[in-house]
Amino acid sequence: MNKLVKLVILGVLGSSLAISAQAEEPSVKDYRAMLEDSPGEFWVDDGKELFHAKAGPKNVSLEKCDLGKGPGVVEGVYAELPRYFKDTDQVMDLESRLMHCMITLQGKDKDTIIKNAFSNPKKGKDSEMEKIVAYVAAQSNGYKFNLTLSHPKEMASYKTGEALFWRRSGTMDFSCATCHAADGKRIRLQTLYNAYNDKTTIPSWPTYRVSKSTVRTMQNRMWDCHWQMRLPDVDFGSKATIDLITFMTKESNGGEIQVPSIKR
Amino acid sequence: MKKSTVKTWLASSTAAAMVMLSGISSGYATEIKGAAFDAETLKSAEQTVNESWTRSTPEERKRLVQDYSNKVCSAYKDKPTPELAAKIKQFNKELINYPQEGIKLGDWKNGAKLARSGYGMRIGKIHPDTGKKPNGGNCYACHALDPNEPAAGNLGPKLTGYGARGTSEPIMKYTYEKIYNAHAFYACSGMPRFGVHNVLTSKQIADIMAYLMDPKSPVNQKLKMMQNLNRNPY
Ligand code: HEC
Ligand code: HEC
Repeated sequence: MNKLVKLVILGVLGSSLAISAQAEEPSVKDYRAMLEDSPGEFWVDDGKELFHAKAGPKNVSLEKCDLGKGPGVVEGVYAELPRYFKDTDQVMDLESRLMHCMITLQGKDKDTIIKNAFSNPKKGKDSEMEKIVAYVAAQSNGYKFNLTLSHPKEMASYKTGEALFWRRSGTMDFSCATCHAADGKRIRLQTLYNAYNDKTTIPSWPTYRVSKSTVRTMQNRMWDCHWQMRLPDVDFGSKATIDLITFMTKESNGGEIQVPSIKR
Repeated sequence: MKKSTVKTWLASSTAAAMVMLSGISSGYATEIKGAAFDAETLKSAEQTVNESWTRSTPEERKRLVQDYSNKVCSAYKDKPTPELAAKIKQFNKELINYPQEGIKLGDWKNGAKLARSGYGMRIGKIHPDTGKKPNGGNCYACHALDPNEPAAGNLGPKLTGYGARGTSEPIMKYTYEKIYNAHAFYACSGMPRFGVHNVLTSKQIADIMAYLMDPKSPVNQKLKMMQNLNRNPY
């Protein structure tokens, strides 16, 4: 299907979703069947180009970036992230690791990377990070998440992540567990994923969000849920986000990665 | 965790002040024995919070500080021991303020709007609420109320037909207190403490109470489909 036809379908899809939101949770599977594949594929294609393109003050590509399986290896790396990296002596998720490579290899500025990490289609703001993340993550499609927590810092990240998951604060007294620790719960009509009993949700991120007309990454979801909790903007790539992602991903071990998926 | 570490940690948060005010002076160190997380993990979580919001203002970061109640609930994964649950409820009872004009029912029509609105209190640089609209209570996020409103969440129990409980003084008081501070009745409830955090004013609570309790409110009407069935001659 060509890009134009897909975008037209998406437009229709977007508005019908908005109308039917009140009635019944729309089955994204139905809509997905209309499309050959997720529109997120455009982000994967663009991400591939960006990954291999020379960029930044040092004018080099990300081809030497070590995402866990050696410089330049992208296949299967996402299935084992977050993981411990010796060079930084830290556990890192895909996005904080990519940011690290952009800074150390390409000489890019951290503040600028963070400022541009999330796209805003309504304001015509693009994100290279979202595209590169979509590309790298998609190179693990068909792989199953397999976090071993074999390094002590990985185990500590998991444990801290779970404590953060239950940590209540803010003007709503929410923790992540308030909404994501039981089966069959809904906020209005939106189904809430149960972090303790789910092998499909985490492996479906990054995802194309129909309501946002863009691909969203797990770092963006961490920002979004903290924002909904009425907490301040959590730092992009911060330890809190990484530990939460380690916890949620480990709980999803064995789930097969299929990205970018398509969601409401 | 060493005792001294716990002390400095507590002293730096408002929780310490609140714990003392409410007469719960045993502190937090003894509370976390037997918690769902070990002391080291809880400490690591606090350090992680301290280093993960560096781009926010000090004012914004106040939202991350936990009071006694939230601290104990978090450490126990919302399942405190019966003794701690009693302490948490007592702590929360003491946080309730009452309206000078007394507890009254307000305007259910405005209450209906507030029950639907999730607006307010969002902060940060990316997408803050502007404060141009009143804060909502967002009851529908978690509760079914009007039987003819299908878009209702299920984190909390159904409140449809709540008005059947009447408007006696104890019911009025309970409903006000429950909305103001749900944790005074149910330790570690999933319901936000709307009064404690100034999300809702006492006038707004009165409007929402009317939405729950006024016999004319849609919350206390029958399901439309059922009424039609009643009219069916068969
Ligand atoms: C008040 C309820 C609430 C709280 C608290 C909350 N979330 Fe969410 N979360 C949601 C909702 C609602 C969605 C789905 C949003 C949508 O479909 O647009 C969601 C989506 C998610 C998703 C993606 C799920 C999917 O179906 O793809 C993840 C992962 C997630 N949240 C993690 C977290 C974490 C981690 C925290 C704590 C930092 C948290 N949430 C706190 C309500 C909440
Ligand atoms: C984030 C979810 C959430 C929101 C939002 C919420 N509640 Fe609740 N509510 C709960 C949960 C969970 C319970 C059950 C535990 C308890 O009793 O505290 C509850 C219990 C209650 C009860 C006690 C039930 C009974 O039968 O006596 C009342 C009354 C109530 N809520 C009213 C409200 C009103 C009014 C609002 C809106 C201003 C509201 N709630 C918003 C989650 C929520």
